Amino acid sequence: MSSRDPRVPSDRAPREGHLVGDWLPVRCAQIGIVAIILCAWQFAPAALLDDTLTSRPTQIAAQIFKWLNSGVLQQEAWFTLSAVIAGLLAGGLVGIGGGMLAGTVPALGRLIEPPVKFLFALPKIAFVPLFIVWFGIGLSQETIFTAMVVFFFFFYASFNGARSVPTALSNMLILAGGSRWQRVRLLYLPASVGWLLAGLRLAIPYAFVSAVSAEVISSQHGLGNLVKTSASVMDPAGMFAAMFFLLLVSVSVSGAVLFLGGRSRWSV
Amino acid sequence: MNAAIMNATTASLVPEKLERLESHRRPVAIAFDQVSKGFRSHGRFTQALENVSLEVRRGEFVSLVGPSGSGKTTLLNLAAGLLRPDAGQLEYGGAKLTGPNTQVGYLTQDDALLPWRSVLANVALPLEVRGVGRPERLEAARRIIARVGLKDFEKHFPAQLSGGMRKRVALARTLVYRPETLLLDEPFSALDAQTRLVIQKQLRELVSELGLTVLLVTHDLHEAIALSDTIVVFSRRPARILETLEVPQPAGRDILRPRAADEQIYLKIWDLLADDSDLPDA
Repeated sequence: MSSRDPRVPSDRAPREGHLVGDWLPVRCAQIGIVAIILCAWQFAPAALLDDTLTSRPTQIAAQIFKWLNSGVLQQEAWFTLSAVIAGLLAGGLVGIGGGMLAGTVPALGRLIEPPVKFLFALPKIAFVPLFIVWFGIGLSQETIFTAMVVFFFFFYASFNGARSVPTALSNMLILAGGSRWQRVRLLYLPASVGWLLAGLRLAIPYAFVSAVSAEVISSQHGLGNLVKTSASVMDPAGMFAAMFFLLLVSVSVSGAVLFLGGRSRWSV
Repeated sequence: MNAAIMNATTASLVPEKLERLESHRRPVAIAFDQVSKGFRSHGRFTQALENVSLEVRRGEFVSLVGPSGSGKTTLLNLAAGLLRPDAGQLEYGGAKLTGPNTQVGYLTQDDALLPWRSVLANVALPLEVRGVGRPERLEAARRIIARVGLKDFEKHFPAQLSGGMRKRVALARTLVYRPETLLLDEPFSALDAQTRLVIQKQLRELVSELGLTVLLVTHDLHEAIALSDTIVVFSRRPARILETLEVPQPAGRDILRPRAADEQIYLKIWDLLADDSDLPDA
């Protein structure tokens, strides 16, 4: 292959795994592996796989269609999704705000960053029982827990993004007469977009993990609650159906968001 | 575009004409009086400048030369109001400098262009910051972009331009808000020799046309001699002024053509710098 492929714009390296020659065989192999697992699961003798513990793919599919028809899955998925979206918004807003402050005011950065690092290392799931006492079970408790988990991704993205801005750029805006807020709006925030997209890539799956964890621990709604109640009445088909649908929602949300933010010039 | 319009656009770039006064009778733009500045890093204190006194008159082109790390950049940062002196007085335009100096344009080796903004949006940025309306600021940006010869590249992004073009965009952005003074910190050192000459010529023309005061830090003695009215030679750290040299610059001189007198100045600076260094004589 020549050193410069004319199909690739000069300022962009070809993305790994997207070379035309590689794509088809890789996808075929992936589909093949999934098909083999599903067939083995479906046709394994009862002595090896106990139906009452693991169910079968066809039974899980039947359960999914039954719940889709009755609207149970949509309703529970919407509940989980609301907690995820609200949590991302709240955690994102507080995280970006805090990160920008800490990243642009050095004294404030030295004050805020150590306690944030300390809290980041703490297993947040330990807070759920406390949040249940404070906020009860329901959407607010779930949202606050999700926001708390994703806060750190946004905080560090904007903190590092702001600190990565070369001094020459901020000096240029200072001498042009820019206020602190103008410097944040015109320089630090746009310079952090690349970092924030990377943070978002991690934050979305973690938001689903947090919302569903909160539901599994204690909730009367959501896909997490559906998994838990199905398991507690020995209904593996229901449990897998809920998990599969959760996977579908989580992957679609991540995919959609990352596609929208995929092509970007916003970094320094 | 016809000649009348061309003249009108160039003329409107020129601020009030600086009267053709004898250089020593022009008002003082920047005055350093016994200025000292040091830095503390990793628990060690380094004295960058010690008792430096320097007067730069309006419309004067002053180059600062001297060994690396001798505090010349510190001097520019002080003049920009980005740093405060530890001791001594610093006046700009007759008044004590107390904060960022918005009368100056600062150009460094780093282009400091925003990669997500087009050439036009980058150049218009200082006016946007100063609250100039969109049509006015784009008009002013277009005019100065044309003046530095990048008319056809307004919609390009910095990553699509060569180093020399990016430097000219940075120069246009610095000039778009009509600063009185340019602070230049080795602005052309990363460019190839040919591009550097072209930009130096363009800079000298713009400086005369706009009546700008310039403080240029450079390691290139030829650059200093070709461009400046005055060359200030600094010692090793902590920087003191070793000597101030006048360079005659007759009107209409082509900076690309060196003269016999330049060689004398070159050797004189070189001797000053060699005397100040620890290096044994070759």
